[in-house]
Amino acid sequence: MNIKPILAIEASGNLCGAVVYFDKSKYTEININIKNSHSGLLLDIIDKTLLYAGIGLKDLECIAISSGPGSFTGLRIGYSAVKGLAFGSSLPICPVPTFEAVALQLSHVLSEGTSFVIANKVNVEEVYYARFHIKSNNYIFAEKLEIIKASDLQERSKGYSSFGNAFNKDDEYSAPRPYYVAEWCKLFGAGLHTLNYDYIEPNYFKNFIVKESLK
Amino acid sequence: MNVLGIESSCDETSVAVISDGKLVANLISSQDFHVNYGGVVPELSSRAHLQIVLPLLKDALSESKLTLKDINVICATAGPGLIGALLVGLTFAKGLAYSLQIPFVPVNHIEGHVYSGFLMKDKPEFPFLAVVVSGGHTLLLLVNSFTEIQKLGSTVDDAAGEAFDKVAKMLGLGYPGGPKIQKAAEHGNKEKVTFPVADLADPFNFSFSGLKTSVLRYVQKSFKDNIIPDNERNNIAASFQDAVIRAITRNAERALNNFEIKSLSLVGGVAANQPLRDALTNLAARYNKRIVIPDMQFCGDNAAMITFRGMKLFESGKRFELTYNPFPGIPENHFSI
Repeated sequence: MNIKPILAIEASGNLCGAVVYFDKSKYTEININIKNSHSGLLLDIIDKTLLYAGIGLKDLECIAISSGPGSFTGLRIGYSAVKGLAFGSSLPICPVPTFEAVALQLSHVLSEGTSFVIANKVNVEEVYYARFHIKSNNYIFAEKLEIIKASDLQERSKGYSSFGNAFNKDDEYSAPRPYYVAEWCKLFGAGLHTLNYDYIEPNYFKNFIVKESLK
Repeated sequence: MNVLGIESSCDETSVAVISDGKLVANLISSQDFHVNYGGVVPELSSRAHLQIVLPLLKDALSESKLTLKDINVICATAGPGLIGALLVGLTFAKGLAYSLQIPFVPVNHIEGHVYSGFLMKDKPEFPFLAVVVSGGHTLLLLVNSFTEIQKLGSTVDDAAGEAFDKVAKMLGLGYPGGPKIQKAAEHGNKEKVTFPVADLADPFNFSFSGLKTSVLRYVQKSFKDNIIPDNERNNIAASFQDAVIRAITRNAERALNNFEIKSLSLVGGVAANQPLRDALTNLAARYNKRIVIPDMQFCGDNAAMITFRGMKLFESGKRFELTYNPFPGIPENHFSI
């Protein structure tokens, strides 16, 4: 059976990258970790990733996108690009939960039985928080994704391995590599592929509240 | 040639199609919910653009009786505007152009307004004086061709549209200020208060900040606790509107007296203001010049003007990379992308 490759995109944080994923051992991946580079470079990265893979959009199974939570602007750049790419090439989109893709990535490096927290900043007062457990070389949720007070993070992560930019602003696990966005899509995303993406948007997770009326 | 354009610089998402030079679709989705906040909330605007841009594009293609495969060029507003809002339309357009393997053309929003008169049956004649009056800009431009724009003057502080919004807020008229002020002014006496018109060293520049402050001082001095009777509110609105119009027509007349100008064009969101349209029409008549004021659908933000401008850039041989970034403002004296 000829399995088509996946194009996966990560733009939810500082990392801006794309992968063409054929299987675990065959892929082309380009990542740039430069703040505010997404708008200018994302399409160029996608172009080169496809070029090096020797394929075009028409050869893909779907386009996977890291769906958040994360930087509102970064997520929208990714989704805007993907909507244009997918509609122009009649491809389905597969939204991939960002924290789960990070957890999948960590499941390749952490030992069996490890409990770990991923926490990324929402703002100075809040963080996105989720706790996972490595079991049978995979991850399972120990505490579901939620927004907690930044001041509670230390207590909530005590005794667990900790990852994400709420702990270390340059932590490489604050966002998944595109490779793991693709792998998550391959392993768990079959039911999420959709051609009905007219109104699709990122998982902002946090509602935007206008604090003070401008009236 | 079929050209598709996308506008998303502020609180209107718009998609248009020009087919063989004829505008065949110009759909505009306005984000009316910002009224609840007294102004545009950038984050909410960006979210709404992302939600509506694809359905709107599908509707525009349907109205054009074209399919995506028929499109030869895709344009999108690159700036100036709200950066988060611009990113959505521009990045979507880049992705679509890439997937279709067709050229992508970023468009300066102000240039879109400048040439919007060409969407009308009677078109401006080069060189023309473009009076650009919007929420973010007030400009006097000498437009020599589709590739050459000379800036004569601009506002040194608030844009005229911004002043309308702020004064409307002071008077308790709500948002958006332009139509609210115009409506109140219809029932007012513009002679009741004489608000000053700034006279700057550069005869083509504008300043509306002082005018706005004058209105504030007048309100504070004349009405206890800012409780303004309706008739007085209408008089202030009429007097303020008249001051703005005097400033614009005065500078436009100075330009007519100093440059070789064949026609005038009043463009931008504030060009929807009827007394301003009338004043510029009268000015043009006095100087025996043609005036082109776009229809209302082309005054506010719309993709028709972006598509037209993008088409002209493409026809002039301009080509752009997909690495093109949006820009929130325009560099001084810079009008060509």
